[in-house]
This record gives sequence, structure tokens and C-alpha cells, in this order.
Amino acid sequence: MCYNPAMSAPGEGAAGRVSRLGPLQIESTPSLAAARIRAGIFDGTFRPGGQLNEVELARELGVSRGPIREAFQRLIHEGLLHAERNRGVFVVALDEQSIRDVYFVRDAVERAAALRLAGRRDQEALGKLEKVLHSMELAMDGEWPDLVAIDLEFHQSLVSAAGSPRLARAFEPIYAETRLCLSYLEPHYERRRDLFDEHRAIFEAVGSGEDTGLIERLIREHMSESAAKLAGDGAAGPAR
Amino acid sequence: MPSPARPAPGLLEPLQLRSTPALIADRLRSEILEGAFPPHAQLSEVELARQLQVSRGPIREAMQRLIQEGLLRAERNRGVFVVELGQDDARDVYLARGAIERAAAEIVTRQAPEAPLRELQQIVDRLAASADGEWAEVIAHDLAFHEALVGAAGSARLNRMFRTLVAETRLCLIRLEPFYGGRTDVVGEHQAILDAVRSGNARSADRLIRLHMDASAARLSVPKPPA
Repeated sequence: MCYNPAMSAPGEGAAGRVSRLGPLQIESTPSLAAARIRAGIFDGTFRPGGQLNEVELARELGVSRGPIREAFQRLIHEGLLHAERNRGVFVVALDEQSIRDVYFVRDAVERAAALRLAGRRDQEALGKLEKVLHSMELAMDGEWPDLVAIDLEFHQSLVSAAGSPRLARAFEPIYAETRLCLSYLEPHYERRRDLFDEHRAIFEAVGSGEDTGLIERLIREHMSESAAKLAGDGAAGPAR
Repeated sequence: MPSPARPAPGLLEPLQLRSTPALIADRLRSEILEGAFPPHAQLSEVELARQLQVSRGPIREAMQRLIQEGLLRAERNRGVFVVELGQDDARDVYLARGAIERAAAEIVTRQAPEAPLRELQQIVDRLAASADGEWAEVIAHDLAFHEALVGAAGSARLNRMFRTLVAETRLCLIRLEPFYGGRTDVVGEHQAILDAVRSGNARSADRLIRLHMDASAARLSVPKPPA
């Protein structure tokens, strides 16, 4: 149904292709379509609340409608799109309640991850986190989307550094929404240095690993303050 | 299994596609949990498509979901296999559940929502009533308790996270049977958590959930269960 001709070796029969390339096709056309649509949502091509047209997207991306439908499902699953009864598929516009919920679950996952990392004292993982922090400092005066990417990388690195596959997995479905929230945050950081300082404080507390209460408090504050900033915006969308 | 944050049935074409992978995932999941596909068994997309009389697209999507849930694992160039839950995995399941359930308990303890608290007590009562019966029934009530606790927090995303752990939790619970000798512990631990939540004692609820998770993880970490 969503077989991608570009992936087949010439002269191979359908049966041979299936047994050898089966699992790889999981990542094929629907995945690529999802990646394109996802990028469009993050760069503002598809605005919050905007409707997506299956037929048009299929034509633009040069694929059949099956993979587009599968991509829609995946992005609905990620929380970037939502389907409305009898109306169609739309780009999510995170409302206040959703924004608070994103930060609530991130707080739960990231505190658990940070405590585990602090207990493990994994120097390699800490080193990687420090590198991300450094690149954040360098990007302070650059474009906000670049800073968003680094911010996200910091939190993702923090979670994966905990060495818990399931905490990392729990973070995956909120990854896309987190990125949306971060992109909304720009007008709330007049002093971008504050953003860096918040992350550095978390890093240092986790790195020393001595004061678990401090680690928890810093992450709680980081999350609740971000949620409060965005919740004040009312129905969110990228502030422009 | 994880379902979308906003279920939107009724949309004609997407509905068809959403429900088919979900239905297939449900079938495969229960087959795996009942042992029809043992650990390390390979699942063939073509074979499943033939047996279930659907196309391969929804089979792939269903497999993708079960990979996310941790029941299947994809190996590059080899195929998709049923996982075996090892000791590290069991510990990790309880670590992640601890994070999720403690966050939920914090909210529930603060808000004390009446109907969910009543429901939680009913589940513990049913658990107590079934304690001497089939282990499968004990498991169902045990799981229902934790699902209801997370549900009571009213967070769509926390619910979704918890659901990705349900299948693996069930695998853990199946293996926990020999560790609950008189089975009164299993009732007592849940009642104690509920009592702390209901009485608004956040610190105690938090500690009891942590102990509950640590104890289960520790039980599953010994190589051989008690005879």
C-alpha cells in the first residue's frame, strides 16, 4: 500500500523484497511524509489550527494518499495534529490546559531522570550534557529556533543520560509538543541569559549529585515558571 | 496501548486507518501476553497480513506501536521479534511507573476527587475479594488500581505514558505470583497507598508508592522465585 519504489533493488521479485526489507519499510514513505509535515509545522508553514489536506499533500509530496494517512496517524499520535469529527485533520494549537499538562508530565519524567543520573554519576553522560550547555551559551545571541533546538537537546540528553529506556520512551510522545511550547516562549525571555542560567543551575546540581532536594526544586521551578509564562498568553500560537 | 490525546471517531477515511492498526495491535498484544508468541519469536508481516486478511500497512503500524510499548523489538535487516523481559527491564518498568504514579498521586492527594477515590476503594475491595482466586484476576485488579490512580490525576499525557507501560507491567505481574505467599500483602500495599492519598498525606503517599515499586522490582530481581 505504501510501498516506496525508490527502496527496491532492480530485478528483485516482490516476495524477496518483502522478506528482506520488511522491517526497514516501517521507516519508509509514511515516515518521510511525517518528517516533512512535522518540519512544516515547526517552521510555521502549517500554522496552529490550520487544516491539512490529504489529497493536496499527496500531490505535493508525490506519493499516494495511503502514506499521507499513515503520516497523519503518526503525527496525531505525537500530538502535533488532531482529527475532528466530520471536518478533517488540523495542526494542534496548544491551549492553556495542554501547555500545563506538557510541563506537568515533563516535570515528572525529568525529575526522575535527573535523580537517577545524579545517583549514577555517569561522567560521559554528564560531559555530553555540558557540551549541550556550552552550545546553548554560544547560541544566546542567535536565532530563537536554534536556541529552541538546543534547549530541547538539553532536556532530551538529560532524560537519556539517566539510562532508563522507559523514561526515554515516555519522553518521546511529548517531544514534539515540548518543541511547540519552546517555540512559543521567545517573547518571555527578554534576557536570554536567564534561559542559560536556569539550565546551568540544573546541570550543576545534577553534576554534583549531592543535594537531591535542590535538583528536584530547580526542575520543578523551571517547569512551573515556563508553564506560567505560556499560560498567560491565552490560546497559544507562535507569538509574532 | 497509547491512543491519541483527542480521539476523534467519525472522520471517515482516517477512522478506518486508525482503527485497523489499533485492532491489530490489540490482537497481537493479547496473543503475546497469553504466550501464543513466546519470547524471541519472529513475527512475519506477510504471514500476519494473510492470517488477519488485511494489507501490510496496518500490520506495520501495529507492530510499530507494540515496539513503542516494548513488547516487540525490530532488528535491522532481520525482522521483528517478541522481547523477553529481563531483570533490568523489570527494574526499569518500575522506575518509570514510579515517576508517573508519584506525580499522579501528588495531584490526587491535593485535589481529593470524590468519585475516583470511591472507585479506587472499590477496586481494592475487589482485589481483596479475589485474593484467594486466580492470579489472573488479582493481576487485573492490581493493574486497574494503578490505571485508576493515574486516571484520577486527569492528565491526558500522563495517561498516555502510563498506557505504554501497561503491557510490560502485566508481564511483570504474571511473574510476581510466587512472591505473594499469603497474598494479603498485595491487598495491604494498595490499601495503604489509597489511605494515604485519601487522607491528604502527600509525603506518605509518595513514600508508599516508592516502596511498592521498589519492592516489586526487588522481588523480580532475584534469579529464582521462592518455591
